[in-house]
Amino acid sequence: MNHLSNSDAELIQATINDDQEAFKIFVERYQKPIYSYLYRFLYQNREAAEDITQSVFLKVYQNLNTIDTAKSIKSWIYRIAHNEAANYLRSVSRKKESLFDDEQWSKMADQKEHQEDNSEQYSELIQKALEKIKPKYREVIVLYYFEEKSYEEIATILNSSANSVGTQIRRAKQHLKKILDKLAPDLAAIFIVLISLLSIERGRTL
Amino acid sequence: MKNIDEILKKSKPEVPELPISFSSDVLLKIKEQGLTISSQKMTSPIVNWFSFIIGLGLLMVALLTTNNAIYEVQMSGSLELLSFGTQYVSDFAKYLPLDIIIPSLLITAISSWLLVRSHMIKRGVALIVAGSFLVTSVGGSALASTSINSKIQASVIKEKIEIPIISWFYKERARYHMKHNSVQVGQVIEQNKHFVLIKDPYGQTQKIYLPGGMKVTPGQYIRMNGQVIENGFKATIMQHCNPTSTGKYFMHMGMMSNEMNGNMMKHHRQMQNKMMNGKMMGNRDMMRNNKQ
Repeated sequence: MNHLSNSDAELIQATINDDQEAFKIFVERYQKPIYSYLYRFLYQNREAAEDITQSVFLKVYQNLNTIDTAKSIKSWIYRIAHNEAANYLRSVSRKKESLFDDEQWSKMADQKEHQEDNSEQYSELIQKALEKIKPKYREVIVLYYFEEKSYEEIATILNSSANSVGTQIRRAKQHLKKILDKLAPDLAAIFIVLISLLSIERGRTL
Repeated sequence: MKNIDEILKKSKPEVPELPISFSSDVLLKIKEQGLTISSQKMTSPIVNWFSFIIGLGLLMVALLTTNNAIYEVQMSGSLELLSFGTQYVSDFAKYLPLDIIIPSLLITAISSWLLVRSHMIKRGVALIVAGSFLVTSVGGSALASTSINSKIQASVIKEKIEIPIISWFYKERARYHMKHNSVQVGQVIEQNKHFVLIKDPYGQTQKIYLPGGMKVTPGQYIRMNGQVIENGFKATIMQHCNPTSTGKYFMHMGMMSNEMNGNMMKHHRQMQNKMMNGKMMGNRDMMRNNKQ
């Protein structure tokens, strides 16, 4: 049976009626956005994002009966993903493991020194700063700026209110700015070195 | 620096592709782990509202119960023991009405569980639980600091109002004052060169030998730490009490005279045993009543 054109509610009903193919289509419909959110939220850790995406869909399968099809199914899945990611981050912090090891840091720093594009440098800097802010702030940044969710959608995912989401985003940006202020001297130093090298090079050619 | 919103939007990290077999792997995992779709249906909004209202109601009950526990502690005068430092903490603990405190904690826990379950409060579980306990303790303390309990107690006892549980509490509980063989509390009624006479909350006159140099005037409320001697009480430490809070003991105890019923006697006897075990001296009147 071809389920591609079926609505989410129809796919869910078919799955409840023991049609595994329907659930496969359902997973395919949502796997990319959920994985993308988890990958960006979980410090771009591919392995963790993949594992958690899988456990999200296992949870979705087990709880298909509790879905309120009148509400946004997508937000419901995101909410499960948020809970799973939060559990994962808690377990990682308990084990005191680092999601981002020294090797990755130095690799990033090396790349930065060889980059000439300003916007890319900003982007790298932002990523570095995002590693340092609290997960709850990181999550709202990821959902709002990277996943382009509205305040209302984020509120549903985080079981919060739209106003509270707005406050969280504002605070997240304040924290981010503080971290960027601390990181900025490094960037300024790189700029000075690059500009000096460029002037020396120009001097030689003249 | 560029506008942070602009930079954030441009900083979106690229996401690698998921394996092509991802959805098949999920189905395989379901099969391997033998997962099934839970038969539990979604709770209806009516059930959620019901949980929310019951939760709030129980929170109010817990708040009132906490208020009752605090009122009983206040009226027993056991807090006076803490004025003399940590040496009497264990004696103070014996006066804690655990049979009210423990149910109050349980009711708060149940109410917070219902509030969490209702999904009506868009906050985390820890915050709801902490908030419930905060409401109960702060609200209960605030209520106990007003005169509402004394007014209710006066109405219940003087006008003989019968309200289940409430009448029981105000008639049979919160109607005793602590007695300790090392601590005395009372109002100065007479003073002479060698000793002072005080009236304790039970209305009995006690002869007190104050530490040298201590001066008191009739009408003042005082508390003393010391020991019982042959012809009175020899104080080694004397402190002036807050007339408002200490005055309450006298009003409270005055209101109760000759109105103890069987259940109240039983409760007093239990407190009496606790006191004796903890080197506390019982109320002489109570002992006499018990013998009768």
